[in-house]
Amino acid sequence: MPPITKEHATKIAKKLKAVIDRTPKAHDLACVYHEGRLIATFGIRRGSRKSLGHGHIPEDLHLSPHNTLRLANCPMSRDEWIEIVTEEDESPEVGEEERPSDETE
Amino acid sequence: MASRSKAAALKPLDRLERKVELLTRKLERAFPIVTFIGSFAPEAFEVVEPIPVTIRAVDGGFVASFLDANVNASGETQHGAFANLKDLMIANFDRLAKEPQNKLGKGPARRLAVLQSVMRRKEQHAANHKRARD
Repeated sequence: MPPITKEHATKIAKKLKAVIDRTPKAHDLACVYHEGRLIATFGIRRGSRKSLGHGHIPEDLHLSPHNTLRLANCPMSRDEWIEIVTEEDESPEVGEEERPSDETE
Repeated sequence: MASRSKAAALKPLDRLERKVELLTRKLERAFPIVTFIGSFAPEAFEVVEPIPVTIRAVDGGFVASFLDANVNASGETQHGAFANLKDLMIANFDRLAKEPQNKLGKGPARRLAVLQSVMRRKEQHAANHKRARD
């Protein structure tokens, strides 16, 4: 599997319509919104080399490395990725449980 | 004659040593290391408690992660990935704190909460301390 690079990160940012926060530091921060809410951020390393390693992107996007490449290279759409992330968002946190019904018979 | 045979005997040993060296390097890269962030100096942030960081080899480089907050960064070296992680933790802290709470998805909200529990701005801490004193 090819390594995930800055080129992939930039393509993903464009596909996800990320708002890029330019910082004076070593990274720009790509902020992805959906229905007015910020649902993900990931760092894009500063530097001219397109081949700069971005192996951290899969975790930031809740994807496997394989699916990260699919997202960068077109097989995966923005909507498909949104579905994955919002599914994760909707899953209960550790410790969250459905409250038992208070209704008595 | 004796020196020639000695040299011939060394070659397999050299090869073996080289192989061990390569295997050791491979093994070192195969297992992640765990270290801690103890300081954000010279940035205007300080650590509330030591922050655990996992660094693993990925694609010929390294990825450093603060797993609790799911903040991750890449680098050519372990040190580079570690430094980049600190940079991204600060960037995330600042960016997420600017966003109104009700505009943060669950993941970013959780990330911000975790970051705020382990790091803080220096002047904010000093101001809070002064307010408490006065």
